[in-house]
Amino acid sequence: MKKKRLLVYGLSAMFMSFVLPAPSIADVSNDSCMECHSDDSLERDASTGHNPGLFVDIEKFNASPHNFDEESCVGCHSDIEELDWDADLPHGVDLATPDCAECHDETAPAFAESVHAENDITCYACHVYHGPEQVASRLTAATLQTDFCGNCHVATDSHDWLPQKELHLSSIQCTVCHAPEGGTHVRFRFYNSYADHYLSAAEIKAGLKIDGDFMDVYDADQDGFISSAEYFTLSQDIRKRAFVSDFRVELTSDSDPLVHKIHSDGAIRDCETCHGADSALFANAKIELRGDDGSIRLIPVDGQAAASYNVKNFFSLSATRFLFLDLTGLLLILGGIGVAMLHFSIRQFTQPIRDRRKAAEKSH
Amino acid sequence: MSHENMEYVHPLPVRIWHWVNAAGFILLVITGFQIRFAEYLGYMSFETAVTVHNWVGFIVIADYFLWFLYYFGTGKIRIYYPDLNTFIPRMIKQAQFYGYGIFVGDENPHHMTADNKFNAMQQKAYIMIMFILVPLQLLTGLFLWDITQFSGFVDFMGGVKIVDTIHVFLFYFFVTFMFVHAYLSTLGHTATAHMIAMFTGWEEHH
Repeated sequence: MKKKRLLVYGLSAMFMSFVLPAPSIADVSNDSCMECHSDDSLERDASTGHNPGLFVDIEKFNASPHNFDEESCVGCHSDIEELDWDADLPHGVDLATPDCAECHDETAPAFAESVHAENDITCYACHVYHGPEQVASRLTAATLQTDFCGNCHVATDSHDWLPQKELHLSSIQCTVCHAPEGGTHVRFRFYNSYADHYLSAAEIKAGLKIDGDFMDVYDADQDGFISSAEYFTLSQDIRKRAFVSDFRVELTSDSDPLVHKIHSDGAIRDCETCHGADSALFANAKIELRGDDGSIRLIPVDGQAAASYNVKNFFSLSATRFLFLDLTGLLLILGGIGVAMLHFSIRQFTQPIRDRRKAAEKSH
Repeated sequence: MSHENMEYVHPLPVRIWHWVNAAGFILLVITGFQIRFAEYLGYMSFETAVTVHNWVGFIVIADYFLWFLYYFGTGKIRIYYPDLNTFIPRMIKQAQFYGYGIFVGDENPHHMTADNKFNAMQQKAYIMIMFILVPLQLLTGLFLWDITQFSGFVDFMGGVKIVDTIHVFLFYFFVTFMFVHAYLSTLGHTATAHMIAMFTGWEEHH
């Protein structure tokens, strides 16, 4: 009986070895790598010319788009062909620098034309290896400026020509002007200005006291777009429900490969590009709902909402272009000119009366 | 130049203040329209308009301080204060003159002197303009010049859109004022008498 069972197991194993592929390096789980690379004291000899640090922060990696896309350690470190657990080091020590362009084939040509490529800047100089972030489309302008571009560039040291320099730098991402081909949208973020805190999707739902999905409540016509009227309802609810939040609005780069095409010159300097009521930049606006896991949901909203009164940090020229104000101004000016002209005309018309009176007074 | 029948009504600091202010307002209006209606107008770039508007704004603010220091320093600010006992009847009389008397050749009920420069309607208008509207326009302009630096004041006033709305509304008011003011300046004993006096300081008595 025992022999029979062993035979079945043996034949099954032989069969499976034909049917299933042999374990490949791609099947090496990240957990295997982390057996060594979770050790934050793990270093290599600096004389190799490489960064000595070999520690990988798996939490950062897990929060990165690479993990969301189910990319693994050996997906990038593809020159690791096998792990030999019997050797002192399970794989070769002089690994090639991962070639990001292998996967990011649309980004690579855009980056190749950038001032960063001209100066041999690597992808991970901005995106951080092992925990790459989608920089421009996820971060606030301020964070982008301080933690990313700010690692090399001090924005406040230049841009002196720019009126309202501080305001511009704090509410427009660097890439909006310096990589304009990447596309731009107006990003609305719920913000508690007292606590200086951007609110998460869960905090927003709690603040607005809504149970269901945000769009089930505020997208009344269910067209996937928050119109001006629907935005007004949202604004009303913020007030009515004593939700301590207003909106911080920023010009934000789209998640587009062309955002890597940073120009050394030729950044947008025409103020009119943004400062016009019909600016294309304001046609595309999105409300951000950020999940606790770092995921971001963008909800299209009418760009004119940026001109509403609960947006305090952001000021497009169209913001006060409400018809009533300009119409009042027009009536005021025309009224003033009209009264002056009418008065002048009556004076002309009544000149004979004054002439007669003068003549009469003289004759006395 | 003989000053018989003439009275020195506009001292030099006042004339300097007035014409710097006038030139400044004209530039602010021209650049202001370009800034507000950037997509319709194109007589200068937005950048130039903002730069000129900011510089001229500061000149006008400094000019306001010239007015303020002169009038309060010399005590002549009294000419702006209406005599509350006679103010209302004088204003009615003045309105009657502009609305009727001027057409039939009545004498202007107000006789300009250095100590009594403004008629009752002017007093009412100018006290409002110089004590409330101009300072409000200068302050809102200053806040809009650097919103970040003045964010505390801007938030106190209800946000940048409120500040801008006040600034734009006053802008329209001052454009209107300039037309009406220029017209009223032609109502002297000759069409240019008041304007010449604003250059020379001497107003002719009739």
